[in-house]
Amino acid sequence: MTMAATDSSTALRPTPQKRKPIKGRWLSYVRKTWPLHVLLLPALIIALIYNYTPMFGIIIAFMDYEPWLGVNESPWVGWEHFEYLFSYPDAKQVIWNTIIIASLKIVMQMFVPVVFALLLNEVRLTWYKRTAQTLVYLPHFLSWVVLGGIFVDILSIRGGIVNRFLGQFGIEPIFFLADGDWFRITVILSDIWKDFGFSAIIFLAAIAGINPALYEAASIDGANRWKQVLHITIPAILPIFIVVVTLSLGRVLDAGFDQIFNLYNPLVYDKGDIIDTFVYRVGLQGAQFSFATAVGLFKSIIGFILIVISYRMAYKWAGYRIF
Amino acid sequence: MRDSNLRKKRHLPTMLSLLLTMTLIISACSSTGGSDGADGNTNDDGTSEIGEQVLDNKTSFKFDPPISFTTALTFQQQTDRDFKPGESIEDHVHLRWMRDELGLDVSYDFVVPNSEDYETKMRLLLSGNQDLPDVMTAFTGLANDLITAKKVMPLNDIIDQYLTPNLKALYEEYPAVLYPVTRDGVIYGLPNMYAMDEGTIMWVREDWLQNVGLDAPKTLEEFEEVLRAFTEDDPDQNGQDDTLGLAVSLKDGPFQWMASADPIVGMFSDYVAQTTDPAQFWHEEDGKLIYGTTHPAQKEFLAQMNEWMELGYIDPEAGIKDPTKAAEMVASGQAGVIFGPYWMNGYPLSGSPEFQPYPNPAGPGGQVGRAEKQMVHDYVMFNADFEHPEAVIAYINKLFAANFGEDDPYYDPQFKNGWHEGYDYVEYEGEVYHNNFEENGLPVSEWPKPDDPTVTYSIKFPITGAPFVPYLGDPAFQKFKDDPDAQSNSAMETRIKSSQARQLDAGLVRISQNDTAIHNQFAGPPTKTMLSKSELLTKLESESYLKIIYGDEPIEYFDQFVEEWKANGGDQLIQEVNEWYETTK
Amino acid sequence: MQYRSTSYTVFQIFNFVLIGVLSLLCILPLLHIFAVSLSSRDAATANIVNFWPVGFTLAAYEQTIGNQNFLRALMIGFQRTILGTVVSMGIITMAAYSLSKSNLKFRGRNMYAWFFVFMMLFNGGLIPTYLVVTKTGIYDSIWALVIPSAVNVWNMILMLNFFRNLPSELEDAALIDGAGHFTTLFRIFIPISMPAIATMTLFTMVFHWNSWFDGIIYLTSMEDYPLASFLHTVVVKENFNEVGVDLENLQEISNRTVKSSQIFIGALPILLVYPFLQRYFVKGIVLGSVKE
Repeated sequence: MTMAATDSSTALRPTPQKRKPIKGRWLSYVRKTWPLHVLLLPALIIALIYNYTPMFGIIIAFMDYEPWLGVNESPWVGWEHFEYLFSYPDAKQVIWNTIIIASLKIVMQMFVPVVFALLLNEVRLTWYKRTAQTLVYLPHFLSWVVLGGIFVDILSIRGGIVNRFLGQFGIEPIFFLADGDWFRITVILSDIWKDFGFSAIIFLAAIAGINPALYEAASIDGANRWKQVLHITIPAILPIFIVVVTLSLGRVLDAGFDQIFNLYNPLVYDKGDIIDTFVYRVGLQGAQFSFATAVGLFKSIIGFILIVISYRMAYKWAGYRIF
Repeated sequence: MRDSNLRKKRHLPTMLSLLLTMTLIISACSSTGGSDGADGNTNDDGTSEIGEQVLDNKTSFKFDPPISFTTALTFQQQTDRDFKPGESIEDHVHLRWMRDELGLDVSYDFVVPNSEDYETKMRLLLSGNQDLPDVMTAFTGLANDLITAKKVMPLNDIIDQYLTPNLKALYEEYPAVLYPVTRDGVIYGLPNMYAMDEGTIMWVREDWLQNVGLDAPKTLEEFEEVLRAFTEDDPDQNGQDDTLGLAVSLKDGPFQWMASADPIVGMFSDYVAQTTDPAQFWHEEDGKLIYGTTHPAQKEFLAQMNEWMELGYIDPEAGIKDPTKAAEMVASGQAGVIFGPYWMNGYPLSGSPEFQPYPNPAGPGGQVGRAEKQMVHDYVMFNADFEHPEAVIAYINKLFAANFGEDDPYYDPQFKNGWHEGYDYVEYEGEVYHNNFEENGLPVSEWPKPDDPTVTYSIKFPITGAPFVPYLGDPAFQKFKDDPDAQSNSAMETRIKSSQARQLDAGLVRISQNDTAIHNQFAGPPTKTMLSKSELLTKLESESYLKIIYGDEPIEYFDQFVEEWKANGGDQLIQEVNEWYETTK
Repeated sequence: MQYRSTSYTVFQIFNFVLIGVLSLLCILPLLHIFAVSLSSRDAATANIVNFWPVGFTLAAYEQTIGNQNFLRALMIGFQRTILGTVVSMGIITMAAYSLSKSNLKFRGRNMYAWFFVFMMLFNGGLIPTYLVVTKTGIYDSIWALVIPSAVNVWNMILMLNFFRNLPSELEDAALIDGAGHFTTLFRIFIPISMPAIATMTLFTMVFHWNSWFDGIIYLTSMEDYPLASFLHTVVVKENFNEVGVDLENLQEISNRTVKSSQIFIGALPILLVYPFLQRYFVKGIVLGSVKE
């Protein structure tokens, strides 16, 4: 149940096989672990074929790929597409927008679902809890194409529900979708609104897995509910929390294409245009496969570096290997 | 369902065996093409035989054995009211007619819901070196790729030999329609054209005009006064300040398919501003093409829009709304003026009978103008390996002949009243009915379709879309306005005859202003700068236009924007476009 | 067993209200869509419908329910979701079990783990994946929607963490009893991990239910589209500046009530599946308490 459980339990094991000769060690390794390899086999094969084989396609990031020429005959252009990305006059702005929007989303997605899961767990009425749980994850299923139109309505400066509500407090109508700073806030808040319920499921599952005996014991010891949450619930979901946070750092250059694309407009380009919408617009004049691949590669590398770093940090500080 | 299960099962072993033998090489896009013997009707001199068959018997040719070919389609179906029960896009009356009456057996390589997916799909087929459809349609960008890839057939000889003279004459009348698919004099595609009936007109709320005591505006001053009164004088007389003048969509530039601002642009100059596509609009001046969006005349347009925006005459959210969203303003009674096509009668104004169509008002110098949409929506192209293009051309001739009328050598009288009896029309006791069956006293058993305008059973043409001819329908608007029961003489007329009165009026308003249409005079394939700098240029254009209209930047910013535009590729663009223009002279 | 105090009661009330408000905020858009689907066409066009139908009519549902294309897509959507979930969950669960072993017990597992993490971030992009799908012979079949996405690394990592946090005594006891890895996985790990498995199943189902792009890319006929691809064709915005509007597609553009009814019906299965899976959350607790 604690984070170091796996490592410590195995570390205590005696390792008698060390004395055996190499061949025998190998045989014993195979004898002991072959089922583990077999269990991995289907995933390995599918990953090799459908995920790793296509990765050779990454080379088109260094080509001027034309569909009819294929990989063999399209001309090599080296780093040209990366240079184009960085020499683009608004590159700095677009990358910065992406990082700031994506990081704020990550931070929100880090805490809101956990807090919600903890709060929901405190609700005693089972039917209420279950209904709430089902309702909050609904927005996850509505596409941004549909929600985009709805958001234009509710954020309208001419009688939109949000501005009418703010008007009750004497606040002047805010043009959420046409003012750069408000646009960012809108994007981040609507993103957390759409997904907090869905993201909370994983924590609710973790909470459900906690052994009720622990709470009973704590109760008998006189710990109040707050103390129980602090010392039982939170430590129990911490591993999953660290996993989710670490993995989500890999998406620091994904600010959410569908959402931005359906909400943005030229008035907020300077604060709201992100890498993916930029790549989309570049592709409008005929598909730019090479450029899109180059940008994708750039995003992957940055994401991978961040995951490696946070993986190390999680191990160093929390003593926990997330995978 | 059972069928697809079988297919799944059949695929699984194949897949598993491939899993084992799979090598990590994808670059080997070995060409497996040419393996299809689907067109099993080939004999050595088949081509000429079929050609002769068509030429000998223009009105009633039939290929035996049938000629099979594949194509691909963009088709969006949401309800099943497009087809009779039991029919579908892959099996419907027109396809059956083609097979049974013409001996043309069509099948689809793929059907996708929109043009973006269509292009993706075609490019993936190209990438995989998979067989392309025998007959395909493509817009300029994809057409360019297909021509460059040498995947499509040169059509000059086929056009000369087989195309109906009426279409040939049309290409001569509008030579620019062939430019995007012509390379060194070789033509690779046949244009599918619009009816060109979508030119923008002005829709104004008649009851609001009466309430504020004004007439429909004819000049800029009157127009401004109407906008003011609609904004400030409570035109809906509900005692609330809840109306404004103009509903417009500016998110994607001034020229839109609906809720457009192009007639306002046209009040100030002959140069159309369109901020989302560097291929439009280009205008000839002193033998050179110049770009409309960066022309200094647009300053007047922008200053005017900015003024109205600040006065509150325009929807303040115009910059974040797409046309559909902007149109809600008029349909819900919040705005009193909107610019758009004649068909707005059916949507979004079907529930707002108060709106009436009017000509676009004139600018300060008496100038009236509107942008004219491009004439071609896509091109029919033939796979370079396809054996019987002339058979498909014969079919195309026949469709268009239905619109050209009796004079066309391919005219088939069976299309006199519509496409297929029992679908889009019915003949009963010597009379032809297209709709309003109940009103006309038709027994229910004779109805070709439910008496409900949302049920269309319209004919889905696999290659050409509806075979429109630009401006050909124009005279019919007056004809059926004068006499709603007049005899229809072609498919085109039939279509117009079924219009509501307001729609006919709107069409007539548009026709009355056809001479004010401003055409884009660049019609070449995309130039190098268009492909590489388009994003940068359009972003600059869209951003600058909206910022000026919203007052975030002063009008003087326009000059700075033009300088930036030029420095970032605009100059090259102008040069390339003019190089192309030279070749057309 | 509750610790009762005034502050806790106050918190309970506050919490109760807060969660109610959040739930309401989340259901409103769907209620709006539902209200639009029950409204008249003109009211929908004018966008004057909030949460109550304007000009009530069932016409949209008559069209949707009677629409063979929609119903077929719905069925294929179910098929795809069930098949995809079974395949993916099977593969992931087995792999996660192996990977949940420490490197001391299972040398090489770190290599495997990084192998999967790497592919979570890097991918070849549309064209190479498409080429592989066509060359492995699953193009234009339901397997093209099921197999390539089967190895979901994110879910796999979550799953291995759940497994890892099971009491290690359980496994040790099983191994001492002579049970092999297969028995341990299927007889012990899976039954006591129902909350985790229910969660991952939900995630996988949701993924399959929502995916639309692969359907459009890998299937050739719209008649084979699963619901998500079908709905994409319903909600997607065609660029009419390029395509042109004639009187026929005008009907489709203005069909907002029908679109809304289809979106609403498309969301219903999701509304139903979660409460169903919630049962397993509780079951997990019961089993968990029994185990010691």
